Amino acid sequence: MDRKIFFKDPANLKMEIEKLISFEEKDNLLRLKKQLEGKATGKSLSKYSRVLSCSYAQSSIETEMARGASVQNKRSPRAIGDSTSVQ
Amino acid sequence: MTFPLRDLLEIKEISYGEFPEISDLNPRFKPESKKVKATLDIQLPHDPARADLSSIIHQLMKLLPTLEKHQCGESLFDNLKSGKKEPLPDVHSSVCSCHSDKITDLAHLMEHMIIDLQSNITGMDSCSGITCGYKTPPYRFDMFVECKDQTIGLFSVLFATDVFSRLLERGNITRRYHYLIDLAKYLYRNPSKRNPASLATVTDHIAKELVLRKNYVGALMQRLKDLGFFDNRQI
Repeated sequence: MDRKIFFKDPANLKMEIEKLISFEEKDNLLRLKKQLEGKATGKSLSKYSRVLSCSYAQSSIETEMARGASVQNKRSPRAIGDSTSVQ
Repeated sequence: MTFPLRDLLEIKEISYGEFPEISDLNPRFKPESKKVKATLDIQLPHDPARADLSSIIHQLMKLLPTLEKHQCGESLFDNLKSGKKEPLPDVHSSVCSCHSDKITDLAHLMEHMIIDLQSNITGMDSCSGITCGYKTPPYRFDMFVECKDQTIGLFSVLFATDVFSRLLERGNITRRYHYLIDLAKYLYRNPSKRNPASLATVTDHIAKELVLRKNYVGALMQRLKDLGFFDNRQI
C-alpha cells in the first residue's frame, strides 16, 4: 500500500514513523529482528567446539557446574565447565 | 594492532566491545557489559614437564593468591586447596584428544588469570568471562572477559600471555612478576603517578614507597609500558 507521508517536524522522524506503524507491524518487525539476530548469533558461535565460563565476585563464593549443558543448542557447542570464584 | 610473536603463545587479535553474540554463554555477564576479547593460539612445549598443569597452577597461585579462592567446574583449584596435587580430570576425552584437553585447560587458566588480574588491579566487584575453543584449528581460543578499564584489560591479556610463555618455556616465575603486579596495583590507585610524562619524576618516590631500588623500579616501569599499562590507545 502506498502512503504519502508529510512530516511536520523532521527532527521527530522516528516518533512520526512509530506512530504510523501499527502494533501488528511492530510485532512482525521485532520478530524478524530477533530471527535475524538469532541467525547471526548461531553463525558466529558455530566455529566453536567448546566453551568454558568463569565468574569472579569480591564478596562471596559461588560455584556452578554446567558440564555437558548446551550453550547454543543441544548439540553444539558444548559447555564443558562453568565456574565462579570469589574473594 | 600488532603483537610480538611468541613460540608457544601467539596473540592473533585483541579487541574491545559488548559482543552480544556471546552474552548468553555465561549467565553471570552483566547486561550490556563491555568485554576485552583476545584470540590466542596455544602450542604445547616439546618437553611435557613444561606443560605440567599442576605445577603451573602452583606457580600461578604464588603470583595471584586470590586464585586459591577460585572454584570451577574443572576442579583446578579445589584439588590444590584440599592438598591434592592431581592432574586435571580428563573430562573431554569423548570429544577431544588429550593434547587438545591440555591446551583447553591452559586457555581456561589464562582466562582465570585475566579475570583475577583485572579484579585485583581495578577492584571490580565482579568479573565474568568465557573461553571458546575453535573447532579448527583446535589450538585457537577466543577469550571474552568483562572489562572495566580498556587499558587494564589489554595489559591483563599481555601480562597473562607473558607469564604463561615464561611458564611453558622455563617452568618458573621470577620475583619480578610479583613486583610488576604490585606496581600495577599501586599505579592504578595513584592515577597521578600513572601519567607517562611524569614517570621519571615519580620513580624515586615509588621506589621509596615500595622499598625497591630506583633503577629496578625504572626497569619495572619500562616493562609495564611494554605491556601496554600506560597505553591509552583504543583497542
